[in-house]
Amino acid sequence: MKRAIWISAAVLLSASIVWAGGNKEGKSPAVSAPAATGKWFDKPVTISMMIPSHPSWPYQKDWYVAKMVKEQTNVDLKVIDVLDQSSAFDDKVTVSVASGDVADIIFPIGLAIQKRFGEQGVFANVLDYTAKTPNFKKWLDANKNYAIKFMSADGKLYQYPAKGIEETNRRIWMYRKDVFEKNGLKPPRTSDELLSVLRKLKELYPSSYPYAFRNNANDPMQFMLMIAPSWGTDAPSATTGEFRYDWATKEYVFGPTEDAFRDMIAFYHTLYAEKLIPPNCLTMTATEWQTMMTGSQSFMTVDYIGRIDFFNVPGRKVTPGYDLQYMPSVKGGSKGTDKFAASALGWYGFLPFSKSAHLDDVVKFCDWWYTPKASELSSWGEEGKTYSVVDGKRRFIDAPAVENVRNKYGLSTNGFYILFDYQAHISTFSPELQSAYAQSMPMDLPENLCPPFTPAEQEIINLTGANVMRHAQQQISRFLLGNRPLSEWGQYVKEVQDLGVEKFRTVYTQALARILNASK
Amino acid sequence: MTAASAHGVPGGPAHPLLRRIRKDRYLLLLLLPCVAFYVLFRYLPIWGILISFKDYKPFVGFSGSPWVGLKHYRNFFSVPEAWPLVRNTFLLGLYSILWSFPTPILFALVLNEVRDVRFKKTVQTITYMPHFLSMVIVTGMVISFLSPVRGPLNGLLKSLGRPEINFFADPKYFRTIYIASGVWQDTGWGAIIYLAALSGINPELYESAVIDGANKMRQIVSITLPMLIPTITMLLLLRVGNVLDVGFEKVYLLQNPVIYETADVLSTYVYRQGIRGAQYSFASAIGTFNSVVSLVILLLANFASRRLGETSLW
Repeated sequence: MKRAIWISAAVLLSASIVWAGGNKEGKSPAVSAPAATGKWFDKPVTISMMIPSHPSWPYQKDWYVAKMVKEQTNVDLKVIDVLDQSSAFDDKVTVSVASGDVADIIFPIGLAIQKRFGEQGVFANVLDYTAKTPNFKKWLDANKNYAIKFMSADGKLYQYPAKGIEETNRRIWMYRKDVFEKNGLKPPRTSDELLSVLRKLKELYPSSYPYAFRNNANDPMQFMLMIAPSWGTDAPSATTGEFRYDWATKEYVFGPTEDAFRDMIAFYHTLYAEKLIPPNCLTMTATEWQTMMTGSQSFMTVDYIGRIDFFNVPGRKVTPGYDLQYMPSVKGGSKGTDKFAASALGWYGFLPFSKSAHLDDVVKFCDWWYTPKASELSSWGEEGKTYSVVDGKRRFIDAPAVENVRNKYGLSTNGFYILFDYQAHISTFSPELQSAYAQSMPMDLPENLCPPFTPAEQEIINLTGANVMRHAQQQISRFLLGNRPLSEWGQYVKEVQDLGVEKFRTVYTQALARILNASK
Repeated sequence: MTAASAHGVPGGPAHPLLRRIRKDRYLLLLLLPCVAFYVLFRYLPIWGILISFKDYKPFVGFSGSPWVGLKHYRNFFSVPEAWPLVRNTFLLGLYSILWSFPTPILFALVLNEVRDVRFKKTVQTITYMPHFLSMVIVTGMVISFLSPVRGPLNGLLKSLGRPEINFFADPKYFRTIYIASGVWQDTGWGAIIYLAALSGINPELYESAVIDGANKMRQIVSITLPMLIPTITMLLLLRVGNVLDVGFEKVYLLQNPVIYETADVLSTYVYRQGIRGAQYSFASAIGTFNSVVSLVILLLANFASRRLGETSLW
């Protein structure tokens, strides 16, 4: 563990060096105090912003949050809202970049857009403007550890990072406490116990598939991102890294060829063969999974923590006593741990367009979002307008759940948060959901170390990496479903090697070494 | 030129071509949108092929991106899946033609014999309705229908005491699912053009056949089919040219990695590795390859058709 700390320290150190040299202008921080109008800008300013608009709470012009921003900053935001369905937002961004007609600010989900266009010079390096953004600078100095995850391989930072909202992505194990108690079952703590509990449930409810999860049909390993770390391995993902950083050996390892991964697949094959998980588990859609959960066809799942209220509220209307609760994570196999994958992750924020006609105004606007007042107003709104104080606690008016807060006021919708106070969401949670939060937070495993790549490295990932990933996805699913016997595992590992997994891995090793060298 | 000279008025254009243009100006005006469409959306994009020889970066622009020769073509053929992808694409296209090309013809022949007009119209309306459903809805219906958990087909199998089938976890079912759902969706629509051709057949031919003692079957074989042959050949040739043009959306929505062995085709591969990874040059190299192969197949089919009969595209 000592080494682990050393490495993360080195990573952070290098980042701070880059940042120290980043402030090109070297001027004293600009005056940040509001001017005579009491607004952030003296004169009205127009700034365009392209946002992915969520289908469940599509952007509304007359939202409280939109009016509030205008009132506070004097900025007339021209919001270009793109309904965020499949790749619509990404496509729109790509088209606008190709045409050169880019919004002043783009609000991305994840790092993909930044990775694709950052090094082509589409976005401004926000480190070059710290003299004009004192509030951001102050935040950055206190949060380097966090902001480094947004950095590009050329040592630049193309994004004003958002922080706080990523808690909404936390995932956990959940179980039907009422069903377990009725049958005298206890939540399993190891994979062996999980197997025997599932068998008992199947015996009691033969038509059920006691354990179900939804999955992305095109990426069979997606659900394993949450499961594999408890087995002592990891599933690959473009966002959190296709290789697992092994802190003990200080090397990158390809999860899907590890022995621990094979043990996990063997286990899930058993679940599949005994119909303890649905036959279409690898392609199960969210709708189908929801029907199974609310219809008491499944009693255990792994998903977003907010699903506790999501299922309990309608579930109790259909089945009195319906009680979905937090379940501590399950230790997988002999090499596993009872801790859970790092899941409260997210990469949101503002990407400022480098060729914007009024870039100074744009960065000044972004700077406003790092003020305590902006954080407060974009998380909670104002007393009497969006919330009232009941028994000393803040409660949103006419908005019992997060979904209502978003739809009614626009708070915590894309494009309208940077520093988010997650307490605002927690205030709407049921007591059981609040307790789930408290219990799950200490169980987080450390996040995987995924360095940024240069365009040359990215090309290897796109070609060699894509072939390795495609083969692994295909074969891992075949092993799980029993289309290929696990006795051929050794053969499969060799196939992955032949496709160039080593070349692919070198990219990760190189990229990390570059960051470490920068600190020397 | 006699017609043109007849219209020749003093002071009008002197050149015969200009005179003809003037004469047919309204017809030409009607043609204009069609020409504009082809120029804008079919011919101009051909220049886009050039980006497959470059390392194209959208923001840097076309002229700023470096030329890389055949790099992206070589990259594609060095991928182990290259040939299986071509094979899958070709077979899916070929089987589609084999199954979904004849069904509208047979359906049109059957419908043509129906005498009750109201019944005929009702059947026609119902059968061409699925054509208007969006692909997302059609694939959603197919997936629910075949689901091993709640799908009616597996429910039927279970009630017959047969083991359930996990259709989307076995590569051998994919082509059948793709083609059968295609037949269901497009048979009624495809039959419209044949019904139109059938209504153009001179009824006197049938009348004289009846006098000669020909029964219904004989009439179909000796009159209806020969009269339909030019339409069939034309449509078949057009279809053959699109053999590699399998519907991206549908394949993408139905596939998953377990069944890549049969279900991964060029267009879905391009989308996953090329467009989503923003490798536009790589994607356009594969697209260009696809078009060249399609063109060769079309030329061969046209040549064969000209040799065997009189009908050909040109």
